[in-house]
Amino acid sequence: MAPRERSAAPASRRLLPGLAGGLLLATLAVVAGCGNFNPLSDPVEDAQRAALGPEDPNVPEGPLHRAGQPCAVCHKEDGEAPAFAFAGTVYRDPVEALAVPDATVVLTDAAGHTFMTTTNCVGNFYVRPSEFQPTPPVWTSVQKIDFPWTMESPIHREASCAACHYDPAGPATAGHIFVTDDQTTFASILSRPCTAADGTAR
Amino acid sequence: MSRVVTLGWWAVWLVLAAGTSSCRGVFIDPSSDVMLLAPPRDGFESVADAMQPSCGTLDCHGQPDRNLRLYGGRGLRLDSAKSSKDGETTVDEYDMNYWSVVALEPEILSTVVAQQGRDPERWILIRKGRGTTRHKGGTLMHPNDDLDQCIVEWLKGNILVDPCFAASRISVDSPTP
Repeated sequence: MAPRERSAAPASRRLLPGLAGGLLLATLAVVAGCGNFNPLSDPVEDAQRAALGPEDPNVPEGPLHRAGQPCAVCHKEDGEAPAFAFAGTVYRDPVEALAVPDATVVLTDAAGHTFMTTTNCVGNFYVRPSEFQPTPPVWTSVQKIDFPWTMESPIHREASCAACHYDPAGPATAGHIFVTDDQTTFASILSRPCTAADGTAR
Repeated sequence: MSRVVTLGWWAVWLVLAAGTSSCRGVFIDPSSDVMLLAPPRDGFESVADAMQPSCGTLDCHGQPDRNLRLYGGRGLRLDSAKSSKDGETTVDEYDMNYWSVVALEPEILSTVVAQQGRDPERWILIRKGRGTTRHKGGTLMHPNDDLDQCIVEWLKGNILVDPCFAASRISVDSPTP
């Protein structure tokens, strides 16, 4: 009896497992070999992070770093840094970006709950979700001198003040946050050196 | 004359169904033979002002990359030389807001308008605002509250000045949207 011939599988069927394996290997090689490449990353978020630029080598990563930048690009739920419900940087006046330490930031949500915090020596403040979980929208004011400066529009969902408040002021931004536009009060608003109380670690 | 001739019969029916109310807006896509109805542009300023603090803030639809893009004196500005610190909403900004709003699901909006605002939740803006469709901004209005009345009545061709004004003035002292 003649040996039974093995029927030849169609060429496509033989090629497919090889192709799939090759693709898998290639993908793994790219992922492993290129530290910056993540096939699951969000290109919008990647662009936001890239726009932040590198850390200032003279400023320790922590409460004093990246003043004026949109904090929640990194400080968000499931982000690479501890999440913030709100965070921003407060300056003296609408023109000069002079940081204001020890300004009071008041946040009031739609349910009437209020949370207060203060800025550190570089004008930064941040609110952790464990401290305040607001019902949006949230109204806010900053105060350093006799009267508060209140934001006209409420915050609905943005945790980073600097997402809307960046310089120069223009059609899509109100410019940086400030505590007064009254020049007669400028001299009473002083900066101060940073201390251990301002924090140096995350 | 030729444009009139090219109008589809269903469009003619929609116009007839809408009645002869002079305050109901009509617009025509010049690239097609479809006529659609839209709520009136006249008086829309009150509606746009009502939407400003709830919808048109810089962190929501006051952003240039949003499909529903809303300009306003306290938000995104149309004039590149202006910012939200500079004055009131301009006529051009109201115009742009109007077209942005009526361009949302225009066929459905047209049907709602033709039926005098009946079942307004057919239109995405109402569903999003009421939070009955997933909306990243959450629930911003409830049936018959000021903002809801303002928009829903506008779909019927009415401008209710008082609710619209109240919705435009939500503040930390009257925070519930």
